Formats: sequence, structure tokens, C-alpha cells
Amino acid sequence: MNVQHLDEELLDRFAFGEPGELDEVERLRVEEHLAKCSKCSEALELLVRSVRMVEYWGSVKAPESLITRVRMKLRHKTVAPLMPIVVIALGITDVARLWVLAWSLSGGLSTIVEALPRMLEALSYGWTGILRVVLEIVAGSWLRMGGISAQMGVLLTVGGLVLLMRRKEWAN
Amino acid sequence: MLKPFEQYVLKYQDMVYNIAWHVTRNQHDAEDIAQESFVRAFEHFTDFSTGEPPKSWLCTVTLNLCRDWLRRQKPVLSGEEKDYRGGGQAADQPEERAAVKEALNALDPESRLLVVLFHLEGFSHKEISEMTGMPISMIKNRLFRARKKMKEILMAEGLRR
Repeated sequence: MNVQHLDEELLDRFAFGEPGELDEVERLRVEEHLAKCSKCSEALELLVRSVRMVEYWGSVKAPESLITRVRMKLRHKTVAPLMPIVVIALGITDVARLWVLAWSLSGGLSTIVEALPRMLEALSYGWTGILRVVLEIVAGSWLRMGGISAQMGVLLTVGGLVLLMRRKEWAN
Repeated sequence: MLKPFEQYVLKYQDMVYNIAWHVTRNQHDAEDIAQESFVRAFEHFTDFSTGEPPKSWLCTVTLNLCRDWLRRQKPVLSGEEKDYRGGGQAADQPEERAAVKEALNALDPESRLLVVLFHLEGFSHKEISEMTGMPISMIKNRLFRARKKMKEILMAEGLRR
């Protein structure tokens, strides 16, 4: 006897269609056919099993590093509203440090020793941090040599540049 | 990070990462996309009357980021690509997982994404249509063809489960 089997798309809709996708008559027709046709029943079972396999094994869990990355990124975001105040405060301390560096140290080796921890800190900020510290050291050396007007000029220029760089570091 | 937002991240991180990973198929890019999705959610965290961005909103953001990523990757990525490394679960994976990976890998990225959204994340056709902008009929058709293809591959692999 020549049996008319259910087509694949109908079987797929029967198995994974959302409620109401097959009308009641169509659904009953499929159920009746499946009850007496082993070939279609087997095809349906294989389809369902393959999808269940995908559902069971297909998911990937987020690595633990993800939440740490999100935390790190958001730390900068939550600090951002305070940025202008923080930047100005840091800028003032930078300028003050320059002044102290210029007048209290004898220069040379001690300047480098004082600058080393700052260099390490600056590395974490990338190129702007490194450039800023180099600028501070150079400016500190100049300050020791110049007159009061030159000193004020250097302080204002370097202070402005340092503020700009701090701003870029915090924006990152 | 603020507590409610941290809980939000914990609640949805697997979903976001799962979607991103199935598109990018590498941990680094998937983490980048997931991180950016949560940063955007953070920026809009208080904009919703529900108290937090809804799951479908977050999913849409992730999908858009995935699409941006796909646009940048187009010359490299294809449905035939064999390199389908799991998110750090490669070494002792059972045969079933390997077979499922192969089956998913055989799909084009868009179809794979639909399978992930419908079968792994449980979104309805209508929700997927709203998130992706695809007509429902197209979603159904692509899912049908994707299931058919996956079944054929899994049958060839022995379909053990």
C-alpha cells in the first residue's frame, strides 16, 4: 500500500511550533498519522532528540573574568562624575610636588629616585602617564635654574599640560 | 559596582555571553561584547519603569554589538569554518558536546543566532522578531532549516543522547 508520509516541515511545526501554529484539525491529523506510521514517528523522535541535544550541550557559561571586567570598566564610569574635582585636586598636587621637587632636592640622582615610584604609577596609565611624569621631571630641573618669572611660566605651562593629561587618564 | 547592578549582571551574564560566544566563537571577543552590553545597560539602568533594563532590551543591545562585530569580521567568518572552540571547555568535552558544536558550526551565523535565541534562551518568535527586525515567517523558516541541518549532522554523528 502506498502510504502518504508527513512532510518534514509539518513535523517540525508539530514539534516546535508555538501554541496555535497548527489548527486543531491539522494537529489531530498529525497525531493520528503518527500513531500508525513508524517511519514518521521515528523521524519526529530523531528531530526532537537532536534539538534536545543542542539545547543540552549548546550553552556556554560566562567565564568568571567577565564580571571582573565589567566591574573594572564601571569603576571608571562611576568615578567620572567626580572627575573635574579629582582632576583639579590632582593637578594642584602635581604642581605642588613640582615646586617641592624644585626647591628641596639637590637634583640629579635624588630627582630620579623621587621620580621612580611615580614612573611605575604612570605606567599603569599608558603613554599619557609616562609623558606627564617625564614632563614633571624636566620641568623640575628647569625650575631649579631659572629666575622667578621663568619659574612661574614653567609652573603654569606644565601645570596646564599635567591637568590635560590627568583628564585623559581619567577618561580612560 | 553598585549592588543591584551587580545582581543584574550575574542574572544575565550567561545569556549575554552565550549569544556573543555563539556569534564570535572566541572567548576574547565574546567577553568584549558582553562587557560592552553591560556597560550600556548600566548607562540606562534607571531609565526603565521595571527598575532595570528588560531581558529583551539587553539581548537587543548584545545582538547589535554582535552584528557590528560580524560586519567587521565578514571576510574571515563563514558557516563552513571549522574552528569552533568552546568557552574554555574544550579538553574533556564528551562526544555529544563535540557533535553539537559541529552541528551548530555548520549553520551560518544568523541561523545559529536564531537557534541560540529560540532554543537556548527561550525567546518566542515574536520576541526574536522584535529584537532582530526579521519577519516572523523568515525566523520560522530559518529555524526549520537550521533544525533540519543540525538533525542530519547529529544523525551522522550517531545521535547518542
